[in-house]
Amino acid sequence: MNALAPLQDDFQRRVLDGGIDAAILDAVVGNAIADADERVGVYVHAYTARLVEALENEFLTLRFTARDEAAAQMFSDYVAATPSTHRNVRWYGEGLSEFLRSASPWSKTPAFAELAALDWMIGLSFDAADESSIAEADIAAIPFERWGAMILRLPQHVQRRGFAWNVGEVRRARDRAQPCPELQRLQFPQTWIVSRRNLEVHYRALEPDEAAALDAVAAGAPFEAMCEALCDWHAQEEVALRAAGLLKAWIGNGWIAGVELPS
Amino acid sequence: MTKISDPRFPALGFGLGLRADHYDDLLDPQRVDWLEAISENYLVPGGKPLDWLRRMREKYPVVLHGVSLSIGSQDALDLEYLAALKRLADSVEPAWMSDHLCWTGAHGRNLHDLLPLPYTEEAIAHVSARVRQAQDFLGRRILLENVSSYVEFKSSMMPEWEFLAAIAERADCLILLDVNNIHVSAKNHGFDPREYLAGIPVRRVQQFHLAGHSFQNNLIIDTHDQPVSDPVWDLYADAVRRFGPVSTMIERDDNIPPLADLLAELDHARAIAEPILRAAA
Repeated sequence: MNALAPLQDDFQRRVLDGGIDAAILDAVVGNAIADADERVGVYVHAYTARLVEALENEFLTLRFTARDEAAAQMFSDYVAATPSTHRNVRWYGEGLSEFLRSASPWSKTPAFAELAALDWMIGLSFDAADESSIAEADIAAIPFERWGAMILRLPQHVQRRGFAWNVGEVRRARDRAQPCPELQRLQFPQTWIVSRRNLEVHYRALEPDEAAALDAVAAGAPFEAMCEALCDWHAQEEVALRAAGLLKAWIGNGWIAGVELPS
Repeated sequence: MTKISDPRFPALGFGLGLRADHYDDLLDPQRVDWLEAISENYLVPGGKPLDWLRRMREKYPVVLHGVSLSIGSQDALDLEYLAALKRLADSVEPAWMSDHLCWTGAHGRNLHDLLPLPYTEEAIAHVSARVRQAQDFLGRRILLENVSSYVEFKSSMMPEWEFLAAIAERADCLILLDVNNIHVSAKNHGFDPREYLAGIPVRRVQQFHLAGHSFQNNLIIDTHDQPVSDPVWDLYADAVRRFGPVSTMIERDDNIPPLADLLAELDHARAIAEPILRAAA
């Protein structure tokens, strides 16, 4: 390949640098309809516009909270700083939360990064792999004396994350068409869980003990370790009841995709 | 190499691009013969998008239309992408699969646009070899669509239609002829769209796209956010005269109207095509 590669290099460089590098203009026909600069400019403009639109469709809570102008600017900043390496534009926003956490001026409002993280979790849950979940009968079939060793597996549609800001409340207001609440730092960080049931995405805050128990499950710890985690919140004699109650609720929610018993 | 003997698949009639806005309406019987699904919208692990596609497939013939094969890129073909596409095709069993005669990025970057190629012998050889590679991988003949363009390269040695025809013949692939794109590019570059139609081999054309466009100074932009324009309807009539009963669909990607509006446009396409086809029979 002699001429095609450098032509594509020049074209791509101009699109990615926002229309600065001029090398491609010498290779493009300009005429009375439009000169080379205007013609290539169509692609330069479309690049940012298309990616910003993809982000707008993905980060609904962020758009709800930030003013339209600010949201458009933060998306444009991300596009300028983050060339896409994704074949499918669906995944382009993967790094937005981290970008907003670290890039000025957005890092001055830490809630923006958390809002982006919550939106991304919802997206991940929405089109996560279809997995069957276990039933209570699957657990009942395991001899009680072996429950301590059983290892529960969460499906991919279950996403959890701790937030220092009231981002879950903001998302809920957005989905209920209510006014946007003021962004506030929470007194204590709060874990939110996003999951999918019958193809619909649901989300809610977890109680601290439930969040710790799910952390243990997500880490691949056996059921007895999950119970130990609950000891930080409950008296020893109450732990078994609370653990059994959580397990029943999780199974009912479709949060458990499998159970294993090490041989 | 996979042996591909028959040049064209059976025609499907008059179809629409499958858009989420219309999922519910399409569950009811509609005047739509088939649907075109954007492959990338369904290249996800699971959930609602794939469930909807499965439900649509139970009711309509479906074709898969990709936007990121990047057949003209200097980068190697993305075999991971092709494998995912093949898995989707094995699940959906589309009537056929298509993508665009363009490149979308280089050096692992993706510009998420349908970028034009220079019309050179080098590009013909490069693209043809890659189409054959993709067809072998997928185990089926694919369609390549002509894109709208806003630039032409000084290095081009032939008109676009010769370029497209040469690749289709050399790669033994089919053509998705976007009538709106021909109109857009003709206006942007100052060529005769009828000369374009005359330069495309009839036996290679499997599908037509119809869409709307917008204006920006002296250029026409392929925005797919408007109804099909009168000059495009006129060109469509010429295309039907030349290529016969080719599967036709309306492609709307933005400013999406109620399904009834698109059905009315599709009826208009039928009203143009059917008398021409009857007269030719």
